[in-house]
Amino acid sequence: MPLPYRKILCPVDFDENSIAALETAAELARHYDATVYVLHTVPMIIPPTSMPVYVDLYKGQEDTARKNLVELARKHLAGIKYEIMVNMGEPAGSILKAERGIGADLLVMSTHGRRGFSRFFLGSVAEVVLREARCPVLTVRHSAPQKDFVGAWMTSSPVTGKLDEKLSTIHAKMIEGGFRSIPLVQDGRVVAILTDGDIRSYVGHFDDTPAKQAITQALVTVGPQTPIREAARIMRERKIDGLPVVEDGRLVGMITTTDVLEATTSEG
Amino acid sequence: MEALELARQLAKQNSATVYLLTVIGAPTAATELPPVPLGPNPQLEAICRHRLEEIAREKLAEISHEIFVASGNAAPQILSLAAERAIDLIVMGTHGRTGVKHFLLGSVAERVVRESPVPVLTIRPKAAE
Repeated sequence: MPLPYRKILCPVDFDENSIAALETAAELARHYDATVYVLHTVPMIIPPTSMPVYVDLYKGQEDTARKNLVELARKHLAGIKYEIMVNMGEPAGSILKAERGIGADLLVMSTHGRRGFSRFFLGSVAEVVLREARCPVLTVRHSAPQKDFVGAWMTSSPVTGKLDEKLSTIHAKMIEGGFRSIPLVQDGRVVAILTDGDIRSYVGHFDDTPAKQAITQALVTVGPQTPIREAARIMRERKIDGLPVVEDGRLVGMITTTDVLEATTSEG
Repeated sequence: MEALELARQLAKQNSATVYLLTVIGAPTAATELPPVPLGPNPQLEAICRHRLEEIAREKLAEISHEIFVASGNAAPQILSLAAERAIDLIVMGTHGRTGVKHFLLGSVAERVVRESPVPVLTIRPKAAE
């Protein structure tokens, strides 16, 4: 029986498309309480001679890949069981070997949005994997967020605070992340925004003031589909540094003045 | 049939609707000849529809489903139905063929995967292992 999925294999190659696949894998894993196996294959072609040199070279790549995977997993697989795997060799073979090795129930991989398959990773590799994998293969197309919209520039999964949290906790979060505002959530919904200005007026009372007491501004949110210009206009008119980005009632990101500046000054 | 079973389970879990589609292909792939523009064959379509209804009755008894029969090239037909009905997920089988046979017969799933804007779940038939 293919369901429920317990072991989900997600091969990645560190581009935005792989992240789309990883996020889909994460969503499914959350739903099925499954483990995500994140696999990166360092492509390796061993020449017949001078092998030791190459082994050293690949070793460095392997370490880098592992480090990148750890970071990816921390960012996209928070709260999910996962394992990190780095293989070396030919990608399709590596993926199929991992699939059999772990006894995967599902393989999730991505396809490129605009250019069809990425030639290297998802061209011949995906074709072989699709054909030879024993488990079902879910291919996810990455739809690049359009550059003129908030979704392309926001920070996903932002740090949040709670209404009853002490200002000292909120302040620590702001300092740690370098934020000038922080959304307060309750039951998964944004209920308020707290700025560094709000907090400043309670200096000396951080430990005995709950976050909700310091709120001064009415909450304004935008969506991922809100044009950047519109977000900029709201920030200017209300003199606020950051807006929570909400989709279907859920907090999906934060867009800040820095993000807007980046969006309007970036090339292409 | 593995694909149908998988679709059934997913539909059941998510209270989704299964759109059961078969495409009657023109026999062009194996020849060097230009494709013969075969028009839809109403008789054949009726037979296919009947067969799909049987399958649906047997396999999708408690699942919301709709039946579609189309004629022409499979991949474009699949993609256009998916677009028309705002499908969330395409579930299909692969043949698991390799080599020459693959080039002749295994390309529908690949083309769908490459061009579909929505996720595609492919499953290889057990017999192919």
